[in-house]
Amino acid sequence: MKYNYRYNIALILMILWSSLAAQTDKRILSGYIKDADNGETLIGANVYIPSLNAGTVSNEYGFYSMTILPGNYEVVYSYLGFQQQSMTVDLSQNVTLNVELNVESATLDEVVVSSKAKNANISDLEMSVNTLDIGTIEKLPTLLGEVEILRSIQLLPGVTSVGEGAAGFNVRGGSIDQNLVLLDEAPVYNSSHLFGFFSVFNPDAVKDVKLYKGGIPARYGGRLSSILDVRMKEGNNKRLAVNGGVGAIFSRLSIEAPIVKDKSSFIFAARRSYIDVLAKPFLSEDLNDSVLNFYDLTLKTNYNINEKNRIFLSGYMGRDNFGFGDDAGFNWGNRTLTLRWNHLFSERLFSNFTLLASDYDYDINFGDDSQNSFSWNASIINYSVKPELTYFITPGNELRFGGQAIIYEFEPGNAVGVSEGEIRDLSLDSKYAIENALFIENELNINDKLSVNYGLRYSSFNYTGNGTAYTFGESEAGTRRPVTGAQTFDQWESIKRHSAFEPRLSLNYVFSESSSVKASFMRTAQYIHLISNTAASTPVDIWTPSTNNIQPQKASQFAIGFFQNIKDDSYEFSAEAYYKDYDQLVDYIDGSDLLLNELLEGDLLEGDGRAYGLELLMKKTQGRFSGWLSYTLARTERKVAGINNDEWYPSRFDQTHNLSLSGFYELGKRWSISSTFSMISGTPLTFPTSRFEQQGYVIPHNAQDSRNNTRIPTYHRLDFSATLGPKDRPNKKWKGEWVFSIYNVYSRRNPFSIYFRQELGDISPGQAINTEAVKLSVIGNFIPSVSYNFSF
Amino acid sequence: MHLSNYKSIFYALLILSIYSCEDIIDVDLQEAAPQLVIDAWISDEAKEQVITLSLSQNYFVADFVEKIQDAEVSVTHENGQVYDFIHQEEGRYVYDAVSDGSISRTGSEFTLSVVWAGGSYSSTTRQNRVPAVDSIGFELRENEIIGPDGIYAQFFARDFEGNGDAYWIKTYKNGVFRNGPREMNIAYDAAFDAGTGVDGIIFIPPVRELVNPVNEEFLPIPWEEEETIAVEIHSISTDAFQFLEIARDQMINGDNGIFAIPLANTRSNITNTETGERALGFFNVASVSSLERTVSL
Repeated sequence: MKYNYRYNIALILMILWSSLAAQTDKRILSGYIKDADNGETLIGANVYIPSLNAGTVSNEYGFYSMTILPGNYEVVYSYLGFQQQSMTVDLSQNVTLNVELNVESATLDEVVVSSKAKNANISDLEMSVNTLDIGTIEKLPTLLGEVEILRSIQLLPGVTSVGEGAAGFNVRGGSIDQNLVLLDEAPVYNSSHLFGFFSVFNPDAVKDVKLYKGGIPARYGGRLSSILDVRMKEGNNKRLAVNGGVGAIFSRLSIEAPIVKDKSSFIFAARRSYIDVLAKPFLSEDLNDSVLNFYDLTLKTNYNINEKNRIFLSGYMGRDNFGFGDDAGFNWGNRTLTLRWNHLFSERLFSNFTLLASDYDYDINFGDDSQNSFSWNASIINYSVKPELTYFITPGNELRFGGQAIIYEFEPGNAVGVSEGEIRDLSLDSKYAIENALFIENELNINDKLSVNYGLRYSSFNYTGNGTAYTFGESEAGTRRPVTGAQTFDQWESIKRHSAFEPRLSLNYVFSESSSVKASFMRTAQYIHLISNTAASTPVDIWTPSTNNIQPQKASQFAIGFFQNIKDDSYEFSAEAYYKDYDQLVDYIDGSDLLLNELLEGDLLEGDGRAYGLELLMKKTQGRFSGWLSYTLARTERKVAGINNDEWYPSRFDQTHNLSLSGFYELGKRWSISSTFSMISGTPLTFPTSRFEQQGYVIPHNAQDSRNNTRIPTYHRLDFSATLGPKDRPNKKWKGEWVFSIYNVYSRRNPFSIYFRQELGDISPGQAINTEAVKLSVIGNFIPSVSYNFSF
Repeated sequence: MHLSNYKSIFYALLILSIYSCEDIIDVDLQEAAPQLVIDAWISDEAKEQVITLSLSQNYFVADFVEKIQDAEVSVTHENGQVYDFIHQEEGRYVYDAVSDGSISRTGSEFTLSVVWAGGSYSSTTRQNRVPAVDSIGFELRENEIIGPDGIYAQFFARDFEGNGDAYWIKTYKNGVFRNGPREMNIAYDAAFDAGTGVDGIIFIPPVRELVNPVNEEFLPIPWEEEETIAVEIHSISTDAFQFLEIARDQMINGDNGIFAIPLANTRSNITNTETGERALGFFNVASVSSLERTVSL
């Protein structure tokens, strides 16, 4: 799709105009909003001045700022699940007011789904955004009782997965590498433990999870389809708090405490699986030194230097380890480190500077002697700096601007093979790239009814040396392209530069306090790509930059939505429709060699994509019974020269219907139950039509040469869980909780895929060979589990 | 490199997911018109060389393969010498290399010609070089991660210097060809595939050890004393390697579980000389080296 640059200039002029509209004879009310119980800052809390009918919300760091005429005002602070606080403020001069809100002393523990304030879903500009409260996530029934962030978001409309056990998730027709998963702003390149069964996030350390499926503000970029913004807790700065749990898969423990009361605190959280401990009795003696585990560690600390300066340091490290004696080992994991500095240039100009480093790597080795062995590792490393400033012009008029610079180092494969003592180094050259972005966005309430967030992001990507850049010749569509030339480049010498303008726009028109219509447009560009042609992505899949042969992927998305609250905001309904257009997606030739292949680019294809759908969400947010019903009608298709006779075909994760129902019910003071039900159209798969024989082998063949020509049967599953909360003994600090859950209650063998093979067993040469279809179910039974959680 | 080359490790890991299961099911497949299939893998060996012609059939039909009995089949060497393949029975076209001399011209080009039902099909390939099988070794293994205790074999051969040598290693147990899809053993230079650039070394261990038969659980089966093992290396063209690689990946795709790849069609090198359409199957002329041993420690 073409983009007219004149719009960019118009946009910037608009932004400048709106900031000039600010006046100087006003006063500023600003400060932080926190949870009185643990000192955690509250993201998205409401500040409202009834006499002006003006309000704002706290930002990602709990900071708010309002610039208004001098005077005496009643100011109301509120956040769902917390007691509202009202204060009278004399604004004859600038006032800094830090507010601590108390948890609502409700008798029943209500589940809060999504919104931070009553009817925020109506008045917010955000659309195509889902926020899941960690309390809600913890209540959902899960596989083996493990609280799961990535599986929870799959219960929301527009979020799908290729199947059980598959890593990652798909948003509105995007592949899994099109989601930018951020943990305290650091990208996480592989968000799964044990392939795709568990996510890498320790729920005890997570404060807030927000998924942007569309209308992504200009401050975010780098991926086409979604941003999953996971923010870690800062750590209790009032008192020592310990949380833990013992489950079927993991044991967890987290400790948080003040370092200097009200000034500095930390949280340290750890999890470890014990499959290896459980498996030990079943392993033969020589396998006793087998390693089968995964773990993750999360640490965050913060320091309030003064009212104007605050720093945060957070780190994550997780690893999956599989080892079989000395013969073979396989491990992988992510590490992230984020240093952030919040600085107030003035009460109106909030800034955050982030320095971060993140990497994903894996390591594989085989061979028990020095004569015959194979070792192989690969990684992606990045370092980034990210300044971001927010200028609070007036209530309802905010200007954000900033940028980001990222340095990437890709190690696509360092491998050494030894055969009978002969050593061969199969390592591929490292690849380097620098990604830069600048953005500006303005959020503006034009009047009582209409608000807008418009912005522009300019991103560029420089693929640099050192390294060898290859050029490839033509070949028949869908087949390997021959290499025609090679040129070497020095360190940081530019090989190929790509860039993109990414305009973003969100509009909200409020009809009444309980209904609104929203619309959004976004253009996104993605410069790094996960190379994977398997149904579920594997831990050995590598990331590759855009090069002289690989173009950046680009997408445009239009969305429109209707939002309606019913019965005093106790029911929230939304309907959103979207259309998404993808350019320059990465695809693969038949028989492609994606690993340890110096000439990988010759095996890649480029294609287009499109996705469209309707998403409905109905939530009940209050009362003993709460929950949500989500339904998505969608289509996601690809068109690639050399695949499916160059015609459109449904992608592997296309799901026509996706229905899910999540319910929570408070039975009494201690017992609560929850249940989820999902029903999803079968995903497409390519079936053969015919077979032919060569040298006694039966080879499947698809005479139409089509891709994804059939669908596997419908998927449906019911899960259930019951939680027995602690006894109500206020003077006892220890609080224990039992969680009983059943996954796949009625033992349905849901298909992940169907594959074709010749019958098993020896077949004498010349004998007729029978062929059969086999249904693979990742979970073939119901899975009960019990876990115990505690806190003190 | 293909992931499937590492399937053993993934397979081991997936066994961990004890909850998974497989069921044989009935599925409906789309209908397709039968296509001409040419099975033309011939060699320089002094024995009957056979090219088989048939029609493709519905995927689930096993016992009735329609043979083509009325075609004209020949192979022509680049110097003009013609080897006629005469129909014998059931779609088998035979050149008797025992009486008429073997087709042995390593390094030179051969052209296959098939004339059938008014259509003319042709393919050209080169007969490539093959290294000798230097030896076959036996070893008693106990307490291995994968496979029961017993005698395991491996063969030794050295790839030629220079990239682009491809091989199909065939194993015979007591004179019977091991034809399981998981036992299909192909090598590009000394390793798995072209991308790695490995060259000129002794075949890497996974290739050397795939001469051990594999059972239904994808575990190796040990040998008994006094059994015979014969290992043949057939040189194949790089296109033939790609054909077999896709064929094998498709036949054993189920072993990859959730990491299965999309179904891909093999790529024939036999085309209709008028329409350019491809027949199914492949034409390859192999040089063959072999070694037979009686199993003993």
